[in-house]
Amino acid sequence: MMASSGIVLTIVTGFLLANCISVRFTLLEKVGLSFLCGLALQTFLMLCLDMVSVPLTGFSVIGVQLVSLLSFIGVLYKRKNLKLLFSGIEERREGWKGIHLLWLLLIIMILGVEAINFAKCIYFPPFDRDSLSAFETLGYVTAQDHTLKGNILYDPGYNLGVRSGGSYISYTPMVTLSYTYVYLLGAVHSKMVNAFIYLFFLITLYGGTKRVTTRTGAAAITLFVLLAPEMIAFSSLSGTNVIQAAYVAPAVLYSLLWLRDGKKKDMYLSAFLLAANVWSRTEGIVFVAAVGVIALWFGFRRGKIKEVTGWGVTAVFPLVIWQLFMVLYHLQGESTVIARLFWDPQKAEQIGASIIALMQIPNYYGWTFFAIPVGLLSNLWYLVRKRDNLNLLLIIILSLFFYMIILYQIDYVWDSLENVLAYSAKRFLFCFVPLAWIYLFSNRISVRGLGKLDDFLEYKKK
Amino acid sequence: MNRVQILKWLVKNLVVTLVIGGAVWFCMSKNAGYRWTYTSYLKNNLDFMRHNPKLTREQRYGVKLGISYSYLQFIKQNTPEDAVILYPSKEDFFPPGQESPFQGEVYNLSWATRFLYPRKIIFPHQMQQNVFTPYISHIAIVNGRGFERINNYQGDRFEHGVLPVKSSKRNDGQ
Repeated sequence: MMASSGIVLTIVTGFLLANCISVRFTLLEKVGLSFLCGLALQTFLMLCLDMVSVPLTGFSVIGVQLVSLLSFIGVLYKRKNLKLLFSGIEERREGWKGIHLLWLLLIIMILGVEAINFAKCIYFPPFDRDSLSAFETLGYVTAQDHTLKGNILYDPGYNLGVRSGGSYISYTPMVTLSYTYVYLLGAVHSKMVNAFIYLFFLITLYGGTKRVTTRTGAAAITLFVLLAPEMIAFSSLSGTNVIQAAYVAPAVLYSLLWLRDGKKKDMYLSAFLLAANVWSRTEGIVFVAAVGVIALWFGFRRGKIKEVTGWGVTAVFPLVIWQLFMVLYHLQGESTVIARLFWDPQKAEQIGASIIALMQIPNYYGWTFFAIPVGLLSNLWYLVRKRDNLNLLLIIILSLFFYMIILYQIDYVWDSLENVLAYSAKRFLFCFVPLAWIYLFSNRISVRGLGKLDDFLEYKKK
Repeated sequence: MNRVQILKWLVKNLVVTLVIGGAVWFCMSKNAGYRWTYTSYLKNNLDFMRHNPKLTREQRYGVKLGISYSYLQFIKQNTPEDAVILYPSKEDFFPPGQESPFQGEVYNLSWATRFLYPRKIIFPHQMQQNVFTPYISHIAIVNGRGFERINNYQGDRFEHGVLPVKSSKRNDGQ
């Protein structure tokens, strides 16, 4: 009961936070973003509590959440925006106009599949290897010990291998602390976190992609992301990769909207979600870097370097705080980063070939990664002549490239490169699943085609 | 309301939805991953949940983790919360060349800690370095292995169980 109340409180806090970023998002966007933003904020505040040695208890975590909630209400009151909480100024008031059976079928399928997925996630307690060997157990023990930095599993005198290369000690703590949060509130297991993250991610995906494609396109994107085999399987487990993907997709989407329209609300949200992405997994920095490259170029062209700098600082802020936390409390593990330039053609080729091969395995991602070449070829004319969707294509290519560089610059002391590519890289590619489908359905040719289809199918009164 | 117009709209929508839906369904059915999603993931899990709605949390753990979970539950129920347990190694759980009933990484510190916390566990090969070694209060036995870690053990031998160190001659196991 308390844990459910905590989830509701997180949703409400996140909803208010989304409104503080801007009341001008659609209601669907705000609802979708509520749990994602609320959880990212809550876990960050929990780390801050632990940093100043405040014990993590039900009282302290709810207390800090209520303080942030009241702060957001105060901000919205001062801006006279309280009346606009449940509306979006730019919301297209479609109502039931434009509804057609194909869209309805897509929505029904999304609801049906996610209902089963949600139920399965909640039904089984955490049982997968990565969860029990790391995040789930860390979250549970942190809740019992009331501290992240001082919990027994971080004690090298007890857990002798905790400082070794590849250990979970260096993982950013968002997922761990999200499990700690529900355990502090009396949950019997932590899977409600994963279930709600994925649910709200789908809502965000649908609501957000409606800004780059038609309603039918948004539904198609959401359904195809939902059906990606490995991704739906992992969404009901307790790992970090799907959670990261849940932040990456909207982060990149709002980054694109910011770069396209120049609106500050999209910039703020992009920075927040990219920060949440690195907060969930450190290698999310590749998306900050990829978006940053394009943002810098736009910043120079439009004379907005200060804005871009502020965006960049916000996006990496949690990572800086986490590094500071690790230094302050001696939580650093053995570094596995090869901090020098070197050229190993065999390693480079193995990484590149493995990533490409992974993308083509039908059991893992279905037809997802074929969507990119299909989107590219079908939209080639617009891509060349109008640079249509070029930003998204560049973000996908750059972030993949930066990820390969990360893989290349790591010394695999804890496992073989083959295993890391087969398991970790496979899961990192979840971040690209939504991006691939967004690319296909937000191309000009797709939007035109879908627009004509919607126009053909919608009911028109004569 | 214009009934003819509505009927035309309905027929138009049904035809297009069936054609597009059918085409997408056909393409997806050719992909092993999507077939797995439908049959193994969605259908099988739904069937399982429908037929077993009232399983307890322990039973659900048992479904996924098998005897590994039962073993850890046994240790938990037969040791006090402040126990420091000399825990079996990976080779004890999975003896080379032999079949083992265990599954998952039951030999992993964090994995086992999830179910045994606040009890502490120490592995045989880490005894010299671990700060909690002097406080070992119990020894876990698995696959009949571990008795050699008890000095002059004279009691009955068993397959899986846990023994208090001080009274190692008293049989607490199965």
